[in-house]
Amino acid sequence: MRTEAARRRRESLIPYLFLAPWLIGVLAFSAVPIFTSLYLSFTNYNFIGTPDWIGLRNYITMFTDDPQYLQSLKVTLMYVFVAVPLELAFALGLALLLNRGIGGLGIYRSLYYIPSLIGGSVAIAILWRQVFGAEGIVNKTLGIFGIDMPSWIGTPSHAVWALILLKVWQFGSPMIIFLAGLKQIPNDFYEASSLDGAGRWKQFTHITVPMLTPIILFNAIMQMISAFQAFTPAYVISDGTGGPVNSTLFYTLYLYQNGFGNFQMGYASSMAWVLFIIIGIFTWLAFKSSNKWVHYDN
Amino acid sequence: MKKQKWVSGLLIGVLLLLAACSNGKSEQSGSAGVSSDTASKENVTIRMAWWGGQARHDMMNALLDKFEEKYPNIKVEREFGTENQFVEKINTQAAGGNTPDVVQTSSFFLHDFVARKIHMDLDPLVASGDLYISNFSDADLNGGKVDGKLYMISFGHNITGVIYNTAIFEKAGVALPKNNWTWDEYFQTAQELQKYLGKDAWASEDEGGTYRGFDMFLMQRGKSMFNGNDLGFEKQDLVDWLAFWDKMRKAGVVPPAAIQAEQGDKPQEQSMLARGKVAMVSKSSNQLKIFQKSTKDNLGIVSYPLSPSGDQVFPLIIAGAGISPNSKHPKEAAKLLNFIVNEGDAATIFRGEHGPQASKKMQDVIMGSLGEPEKIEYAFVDEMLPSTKPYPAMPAGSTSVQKLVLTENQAVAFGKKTIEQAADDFIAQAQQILKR
Repeated sequence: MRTEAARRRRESLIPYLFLAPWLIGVLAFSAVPIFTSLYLSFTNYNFIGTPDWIGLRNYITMFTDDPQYLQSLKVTLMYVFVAVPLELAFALGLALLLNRGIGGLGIYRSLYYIPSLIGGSVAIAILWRQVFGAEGIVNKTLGIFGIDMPSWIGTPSHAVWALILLKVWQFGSPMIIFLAGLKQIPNDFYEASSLDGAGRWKQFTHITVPMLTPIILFNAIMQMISAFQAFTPAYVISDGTGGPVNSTLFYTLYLYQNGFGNFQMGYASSMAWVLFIIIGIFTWLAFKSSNKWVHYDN
Repeated sequence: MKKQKWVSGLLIGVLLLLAACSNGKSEQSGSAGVSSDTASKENVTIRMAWWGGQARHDMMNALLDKFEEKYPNIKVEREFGTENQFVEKINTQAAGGNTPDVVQTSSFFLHDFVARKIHMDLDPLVASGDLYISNFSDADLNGGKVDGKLYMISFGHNITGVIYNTAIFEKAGVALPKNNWTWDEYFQTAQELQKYLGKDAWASEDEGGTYRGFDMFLMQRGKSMFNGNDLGFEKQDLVDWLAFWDKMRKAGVVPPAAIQAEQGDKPQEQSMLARGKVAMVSKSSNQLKIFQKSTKDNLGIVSYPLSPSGDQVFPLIIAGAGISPNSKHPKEAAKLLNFIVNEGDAATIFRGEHGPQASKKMQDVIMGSLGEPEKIEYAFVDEMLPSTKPYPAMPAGSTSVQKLVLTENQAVAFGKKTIEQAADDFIAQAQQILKR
């Protein structure tokens, strides 16, 4: 009996041995750093010496005494809530077009997907800098039509729009998901509704959109999270400054400036945790609101 | 019992794994003993980090190849990148206890690197004869010291001046500027140039956002951007500075805000100076030769404008390198520094990349083979050297405060704030950053 029990206990441990490589990875490279940063967020750690516990001071400074922080929050919220809906609308529009059974679908799908793969890269950000510069191709083209624009990335009111367009341009991955969703909508619905005299628009608003709402929710949440964390384009396009006049000072960029420019790691860590909470709240809100507009049953 | 065995087995496995991971590093830094002359014959690997553009990387690599050829028992691992990310990378390495043995530095980073224990006190290595600096100029020696101790071995020195396009001056019929000119003369020259340049080119870049310029402006008033962990100037100083550049903008002698903002930190070959879009820009003197490579027009350099009633003083910028206090091989690291600053072989490869060298002897080695831009640069630096002083110390957080100069100048340029508002905001934010 004793040996039997021991054998069973031993067997119950074997899975952990196989899990060990993953467990070690999670502990060493995720869990430990995450909780270290939580601890550091209550300190004034600056890379030299030991961190001193300062309680909530970082969190209080952020919201009461740091106009640049509030600016970065403003820029980021504006970016997220303009770029993501635009991107999703664009993705849905193209998915609808591609879903009409045109030839060479595979080619179009691949072509439109490419920006999603490369859009976050440094190379594209550098390209964007050229394209939206004072003498870039966008202004040259607008110039042909007699529209005189200043440098997009050099003007505070325009700079963030260059970044928003970059995000919208990466519509490929939500588009693919929308396409998959569209294919799942049974054709009967459309046939039945057209017999009842529903037009294209009616079909779109009463069949396509409701049937797609779970996909819309999924895409909205995924894109929102990635937009909150956007860093590379703002860093590259503004030379790491978040300029002009802090107009492209994304949250993560300001966090980076504090952490790796000033080495105020404590402050940067508390910023990271606030971002985590903000993303958490918006995701929770999205799920919460989904009872009201997402249709799960057929 | 069995369970415990399993757990301990697992733990041992974990430890082995971790050990395997860290093994590479400990081997890399080597277990060979420190110091003693016999140790220097062992095969040793040291790491060196520097920043620069491609041309400098090529030079440094050639230089280190030559060093390895001369000292076959020392291998130098190289880590290099652009200046923008250099400090971030080194500081991160230092926090992880993984600082390279030899780290490039400059007057801008020296104080911070010493505070972060990236550089060690080099006096003992000088005393033991491993570092030979007795032929160094006083300016280079003093510029490498923090609190009276030597931390940086100078590779060369430079002074910020106004680099200008002589062709534009000639075509515009404007007399070339002379050293020790004043802010008024600078403004007048700009206006005269602008009459010729018209609408699509400008006399100068808008430099109201450059903290180096602002710092020099303050030094002429006997002040400095920082004083310990505080700001070293009053609001009125900043108001005067922003007002001067506002005057330049209103006179149309600098580019409009959007064009200046887009210019950012573009490399020399894409700069407005190289493209003939501006006639003047203030930069470190050692950059003259780099800009010259990107333009056919002859470039010259003149001192930064002075205020006639103020101090005639310029900060001396030194680029050099220090040794990490964690280095397992400080003697070998010292050998490398010694080679770079004291041997003719090195001088002929590096050719005063960072400006005139600390050792006059090394300057003489390459003097005969210098090109025209270098000759102009050396003459400028030699003439201005007597009115220089070491660069003032900068506290933690200085990077963000320096960036504020850019942001607030832009805010004024785009008409988002009055000069008064910008100055108030600057001071409030800077103090908040510095005491965080």
